[in-house]
Amino acid sequence: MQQPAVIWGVLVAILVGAIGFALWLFSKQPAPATAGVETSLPSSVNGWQRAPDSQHYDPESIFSYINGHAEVYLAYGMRGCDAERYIGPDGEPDLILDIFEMASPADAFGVFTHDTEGESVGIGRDSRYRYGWLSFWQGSHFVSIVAEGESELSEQATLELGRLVAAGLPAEGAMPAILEALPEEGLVAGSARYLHHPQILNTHLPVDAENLLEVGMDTPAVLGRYNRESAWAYLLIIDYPNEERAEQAERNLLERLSTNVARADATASESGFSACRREGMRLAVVAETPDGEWAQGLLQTVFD
Amino acid sequence: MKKRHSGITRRGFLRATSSLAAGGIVGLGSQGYASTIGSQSPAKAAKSRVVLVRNPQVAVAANEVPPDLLHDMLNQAMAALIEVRDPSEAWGRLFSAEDVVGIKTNVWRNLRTPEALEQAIRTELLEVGVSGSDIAVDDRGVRTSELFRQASAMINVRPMRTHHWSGLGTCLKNMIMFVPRPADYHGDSCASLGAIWQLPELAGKVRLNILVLLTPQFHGVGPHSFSSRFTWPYGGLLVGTDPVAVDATGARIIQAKRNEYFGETKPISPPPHHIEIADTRYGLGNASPDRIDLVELGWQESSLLG
Repeated sequence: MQQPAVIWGVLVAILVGAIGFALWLFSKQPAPATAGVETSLPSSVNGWQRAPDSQHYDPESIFSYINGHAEVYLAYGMRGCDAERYIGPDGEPDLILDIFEMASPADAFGVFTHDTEGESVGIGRDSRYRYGWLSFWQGSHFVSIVAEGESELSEQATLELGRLVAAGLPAEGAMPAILEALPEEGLVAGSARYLHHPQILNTHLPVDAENLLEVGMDTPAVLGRYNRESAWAYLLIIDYPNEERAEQAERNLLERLSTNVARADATASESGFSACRREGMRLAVVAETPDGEWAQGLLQTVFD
Repeated sequence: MKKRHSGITRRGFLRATSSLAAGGIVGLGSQGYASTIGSQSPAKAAKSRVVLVRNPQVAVAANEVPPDLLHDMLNQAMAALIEVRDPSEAWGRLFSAEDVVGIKTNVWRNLRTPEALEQAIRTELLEVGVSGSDIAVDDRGVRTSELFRQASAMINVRPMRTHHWSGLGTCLKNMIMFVPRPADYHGDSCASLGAIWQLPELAGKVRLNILVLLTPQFHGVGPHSFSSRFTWPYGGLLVGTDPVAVDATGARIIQAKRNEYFGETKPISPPPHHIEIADTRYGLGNASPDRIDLVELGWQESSLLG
């Protein structure tokens, strides 16, 4: 008579174990990276059907999705990425939709400014469209839609999908305050980039591999391109958390300026600094113009 | 079982020293063009031979390429590179039965090295007499691979494409997986990639560089830096012993395609100046076309090298 009781005991133990294992497994699944966004996505756009297998990536797993380029998003504090595919009608290319949730609206704006090529198409807070790629930012989100081929219909679907995604995203979000420090006169439209990571700075304005300007997550910076007649220049403005850091960065830069003259192997970009000026916790640097008078004028305007 | 050495083999030592004595030249062709073994030679060759072999039938996705045809193209290129009639002789000039060979491939999911090409290389190495257990194919695991650590020779094979950090994904760039933190080399458009080739794990070991241009990518968009819209059926392999010369030739093709597609001069962005810097700063080879002896075989239409 004890046999059924033993069997029942074993079955209950197996059941409890299975439930526990299932709960453990569930706890290991990454939560949707951009909570609330996925459910608001359209199931179809102009005949393109949303594929059922959405993927969610966190700052660790993003490397498995974006090999080699993920550093850009991590440099702006990426919290998660929703990856979607919209399957095209016969003969039409698929659309790849990536929605990145960044650390802040300023970071969403920053990663948006990493690639400023293209034309604004009035989607989100600001947008660019070029060669089958739409990018825009809104709130803390940066959105990318890439058509995997070329066609007029896919271009229309890309833009329409962008509008629908933007409509489902929170709209709040301010631009980084340091942007206002860029003088307006001569600033090339759409050229301002916001950043706070040395790797991003080095991509747009090669400084050096040693981060001599001590750029980091606590140093918001803005880089703008300027034009005067046929001359071009970059203006970089960095806000440090204290005066000591700003002073150190200034010393590093001045030292590099003096040593570069003697370095035979210095590249043009390494030796291309023109002038710098610091006041308090703010450092401004003009680069890649031989016009010293113009460089000093730009710096003067920053601190006026 | 063949004995493995952690350092250079006797034959490898002889090859290395004789190549140095000859100004980095080995496998001399009838005209004395250079096929330098390795690329750390302190005195780089005056001219580097690069072979472009093309066939429209291989201008397809990596997993669809006819293996025998691709293998045949590779062998044509090898014979032309070493200037011998028999491809097996060409392979025998660059590798020996005593070698331990690491084949550094590239498995980027959007445009990877065709497995058929990896297999063709492996087959030829076996023909030379290299033991199957002394050949490894790897990409992201090269730093931890015991065989790559012990390798006396390497073959560098990857597809040509535009690249977010370096402008172009080149043979020079393909070795970035030998450093623990590749991102450290991303600054200034990866200007210092040449330094990686001077690491002890690599210096003097890379004997053959193959840039795959079956469907090369000439422009990148979006987070993935890829859209098949910006690939085209070129059906080519660029083969050489000088990675700088191979890359510089590939860069000319990509730039020409960009100009043709966009209808204006559209420079590769960011500029792939790591190629020229590998020449001028690191002395790894020849970047200037006037120091490259380019041999074109097979399909000539729209080679973009005119």
